[in-house]
Amino acid sequence: MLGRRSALYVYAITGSRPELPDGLAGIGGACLQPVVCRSLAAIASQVDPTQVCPNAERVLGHEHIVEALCQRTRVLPVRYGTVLPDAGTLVRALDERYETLLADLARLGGKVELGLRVLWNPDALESDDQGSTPAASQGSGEPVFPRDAAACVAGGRGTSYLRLRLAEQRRRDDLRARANALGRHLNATLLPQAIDSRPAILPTDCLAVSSTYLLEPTRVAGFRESFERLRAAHPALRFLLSGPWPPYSFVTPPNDRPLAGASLRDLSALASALVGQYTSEEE
Amino acid sequence: MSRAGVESKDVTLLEILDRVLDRGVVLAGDLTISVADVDLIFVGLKVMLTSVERAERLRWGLAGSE
Repeated sequence: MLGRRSALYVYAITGSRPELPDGLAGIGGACLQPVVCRSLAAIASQVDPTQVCPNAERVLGHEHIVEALCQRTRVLPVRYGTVLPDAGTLVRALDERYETLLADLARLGGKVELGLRVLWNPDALESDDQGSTPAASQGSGEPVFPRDAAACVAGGRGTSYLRLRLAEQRRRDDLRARANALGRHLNATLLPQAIDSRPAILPTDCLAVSSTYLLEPTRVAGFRESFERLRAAHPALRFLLSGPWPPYSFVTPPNDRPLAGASLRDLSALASALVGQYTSEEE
Repeated sequence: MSRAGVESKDVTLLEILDRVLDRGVVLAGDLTISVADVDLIFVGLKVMLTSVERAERLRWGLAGSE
C-alpha cells in the first residue's frame, strides 16, 4: 500500500465560475470539481495516483471531459498526466503561471483548432526530377546542390562513399525545398481563414506538412471548403484534416521547455534515447 | 465535438494522442514528478512511446497505400 492514495488530476483551466456538465465523472469515477485561484479555476477530480498511467481508455476519457467542458464554457486544455497532491498545491501552481494562463484563456477560450497533415510518397517525387509539381515550381529560396555535384568528386578512395553522401544530401535538400514550397502554397489558401497556425515542415520524409490552425468555430465550414478545393487540386498528395479540437497546440509553453511544434522525429529520437531506461525501470 | 473530416478511427486516435499527450497546458511540471511514490516522469515517457509507435505505424501504412 502506498502512502498517499488520493491526488488531484487536472483536465482543464476555465474562468472562476465554470458551469460543469451534469453526470460527467473524471478518470477513475470521481466527480469533477473546480479549484479556484483568483479569476481562474482548474477542473480536477480526485484520483488514485497509481491509476493514472496512460492507456487508451484513460486518454480518451481525458479528451472526452475536455471536449464536454468546451461545450459549456471557455477552456484551456491541460496535458494528460497532470497530477498534484492536493488543492493547495494546485492553487499555488495556478498562481505561479497566473498571468500567462489568464492571457491564454482570453486568447484561446471558445476557439478551436484543426489539424492538417499532407502526406506524399518521397520516392515518387524523386522520379519526377524536373520539379513539375505545383509545390516545386514555386521555388524554395533554399540552397540546392548542383545536379552534377556528385560527379565533381572524381577518383580516389572513398569516392563512392562521398558520392552516396552527396546524393543523399541533395535528395534531402530537394525534399525539404519542395515541402517548404508546399507549406507556403497551403498557407496562402488556408491562413486567411484562421487566427494563427503552427506549421511543421517535413517532420518525416513521408509527411510533407503537418500544420495546426486556430479558428473561430464559425469559420470551420469555410476552412473545410478551402481544404477540399486544395485536396482536389493535388491528387498525388494525401490530405488529412482532423478536428475541430480544443486548442491544445496554441497554449503558451513553459519557459524552460519548448513544447509546441516538436516534430515526430524529435519525439522519436528522445523516445529511442530513453527506451533503455524505460524498459529497465519497467522490470 | 464533431469528428467530420477524419478518415479513420486510427487517424482520430493518433490526433488525440498527439494533442492530449504532447500539448496542452503544463502546470508546474516539477510538482507532478512524484506523487505517492509513483514517478510520473515515466507516465509521460510511456505515453510518448505509445504515441510515436502508433504514429510511425500509421504513417507507414498511409505512405504504402499511395
